[in-house]
Amino acid sequence: MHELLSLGHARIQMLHSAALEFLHGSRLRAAVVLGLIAIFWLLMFGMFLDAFRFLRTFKPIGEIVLDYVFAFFYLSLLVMMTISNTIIAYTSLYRSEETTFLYTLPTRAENTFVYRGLDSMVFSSWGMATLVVPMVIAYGLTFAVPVWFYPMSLALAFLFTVLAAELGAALALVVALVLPRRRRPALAVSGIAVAAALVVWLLPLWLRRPTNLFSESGIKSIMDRIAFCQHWALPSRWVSHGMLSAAHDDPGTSTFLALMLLSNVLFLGLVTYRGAFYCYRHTWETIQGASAKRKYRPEGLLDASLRTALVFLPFRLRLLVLKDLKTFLRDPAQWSQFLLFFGLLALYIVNLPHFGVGELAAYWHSLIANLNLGTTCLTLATLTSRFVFPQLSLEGRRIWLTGLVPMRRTLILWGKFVFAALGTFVVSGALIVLSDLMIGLPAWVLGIHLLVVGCVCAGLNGLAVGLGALYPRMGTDNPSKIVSSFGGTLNLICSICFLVVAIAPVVVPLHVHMLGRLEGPRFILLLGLGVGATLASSAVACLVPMLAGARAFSRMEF
Amino acid sequence: MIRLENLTKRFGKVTAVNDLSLEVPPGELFVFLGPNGAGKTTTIKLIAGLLRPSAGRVSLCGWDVHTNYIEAKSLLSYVPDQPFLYDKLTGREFLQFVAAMYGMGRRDAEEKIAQLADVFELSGFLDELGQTYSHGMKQRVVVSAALLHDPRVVVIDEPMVGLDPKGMNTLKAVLRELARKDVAVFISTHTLAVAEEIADRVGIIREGALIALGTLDEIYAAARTDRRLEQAFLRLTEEA
Repeated sequence: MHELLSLGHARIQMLHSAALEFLHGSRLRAAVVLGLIAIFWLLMFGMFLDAFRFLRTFKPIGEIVLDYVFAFFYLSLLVMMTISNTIIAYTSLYRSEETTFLYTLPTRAENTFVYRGLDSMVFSSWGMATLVVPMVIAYGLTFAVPVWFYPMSLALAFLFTVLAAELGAALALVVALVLPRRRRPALAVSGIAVAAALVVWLLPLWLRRPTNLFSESGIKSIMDRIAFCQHWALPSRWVSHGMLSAAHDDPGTSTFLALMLLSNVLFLGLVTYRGAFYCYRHTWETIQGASAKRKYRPEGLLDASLRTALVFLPFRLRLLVLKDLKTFLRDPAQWSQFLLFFGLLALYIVNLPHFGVGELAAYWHSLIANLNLGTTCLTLATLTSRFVFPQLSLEGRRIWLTGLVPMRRTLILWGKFVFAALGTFVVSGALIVLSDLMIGLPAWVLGIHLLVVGCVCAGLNGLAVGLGALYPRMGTDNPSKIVSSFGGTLNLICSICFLVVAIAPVVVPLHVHMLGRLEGPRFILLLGLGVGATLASSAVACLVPMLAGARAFSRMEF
Repeated sequence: MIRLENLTKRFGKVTAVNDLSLEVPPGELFVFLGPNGAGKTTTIKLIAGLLRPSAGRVSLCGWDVHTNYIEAKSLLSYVPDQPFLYDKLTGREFLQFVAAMYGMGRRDAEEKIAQLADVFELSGFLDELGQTYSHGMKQRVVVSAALLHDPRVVVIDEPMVGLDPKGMNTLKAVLRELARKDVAVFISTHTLAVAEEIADRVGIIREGALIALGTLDEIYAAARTDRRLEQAFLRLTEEA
């Protein structure tokens, strides 16, 4: 207990220092960050309020749909939070420098486990508060619930968060027990399990005849497909049902479900703690002792083909691009997230015909295609903020190397831009082509969508590379710290604003045209103006930060 | 005292430390030398209990570092080659934290911190955040943290890296003083001049095996060289 108190005290001191540093730093920076948090929170609240008001109009089906929506929402959260907690807990428990330091102190391994576990719980679950609090308030205001609904819903959500964190920590222990010894079989089994789950989930969809999603049978079929999330044994169901019971002023059911969650939190906590008592130290030592050495061929096939593919770039720039590409491909943390995001998008797009999209009216074709475009670009914005923005900062202590290369520094920055823009365009362009082909849009629309994606790639990567050079954080090797800095936040906000400016001018006239309300020369003029606006906004988003970043990078002292 | 008995550590097919047996008695300043990749840091991590031996055992003052790790670590201080500090703690807060983790009372901790701050000249920056320190400053704070609880065994990996000449001089004096107080001091370094200056005994490791062990004179004799450790080191590591 004494150890945990000392660790907790040190953590509070660190948070205090970080808060003081934030508040005593640039006032403008603090105001921008706090303002953006408030805006984000209000947007979430407004979105939930709108959605609940919309559903309230469909009596009595709205209530039934809400029951399904909440159960599905919390189940999705449970899955995502468990995965996120497992990854973060594993990194925190087995790969962090702090944990190694704590192992040099006379600290009990299970106490280190609790401390690092709590740390990763806060780190991986803070988003839950951002999501659930506005949702609970919006629901309460829409459905005139009793006052005790609010604390009960938040208590349920809190217990649910702890349960997901415990599950993640327990899974991290299991992964650490299995992975170092049987890496290949473990990865193969996991891959097969994921593929099998996807097939089981998608097979009925592939086999049935496509039906209109917005018909009665379409809605019923969706509800049937997600009926499993109503299973009584799922913790997500306890939260959603507990929350709805509180809304219907049923304290008995609600309290029962809260106690059910509490008892599971305590039980799983105890099991995980005992598991850590027996396994944590052992698994930590095994992982530290595992060899990460791997030999790479000096000039593999990939090197040779990339060298040829990038022959149009100046020699030194080509070398820099190849260096960045190799770093990316050899870091599973980077490419796996790209694969996950774009893989899920591709999976959804490939399955579009099975949702009966072909049966829908032109309005829906246009809407779905534009939403796909928006989603792809939004995913791209998240990924450029997460991976491209920190590129220059991550050179960190190695920056002298690239800084001393006998070439203009601005060229180094452009090299990073070329690498990121080309790479993202290949992936996102392929997705958009696939989406438009699946929906069956005409080739000229596909061409325009591809042009928009190209512009968006240039703009987003220009912003990320340029702002990354304007606001570098060289002192850290941790990408999360770089991404959550002022520059990183600014980049994300600018990227989202840029998306609106770049996509809307083209998508709006296209959509109105697909509805048959805009034709002939007027449509061509508006579309031309829209394409011009997209090109202009992309040029601004790309060139302004790139030129400013290049100037800052040229003047940078190492 | 530090006792390594038939210590072996394998990483997959590679044997980093091979059947190493060694004893560092209390009051001895032992310097561990070896070329890059010879197994020095692995040995040090095995002594600090950060790696589990594939075979053999490590004990500190009679406590096995794996079966009685709390007792063993209470007697040990380990300074890694890359000093770890919390960015958002001041040097003083970090030292207070380490003292608390070793179960030191607040008053004792304050006295010891003041004493060490004086020796390592920390006062000028001790109340600033760790993130603002240079490598040398970090090293001084981390060495101070290692000496807070009066350890019986001190293990330091590359102690002089980042220190200025005055800092090096102070550290050498502190290490000699520790040995005088019957502390077993185990140092791994590439700085042969430091080894020549302070070592009571030297061990040279190559490809995981101890190829030479003894006082400086014994090492010179084994290498058939005059009184220059560099020459002896090169001859022994190339011959082996």
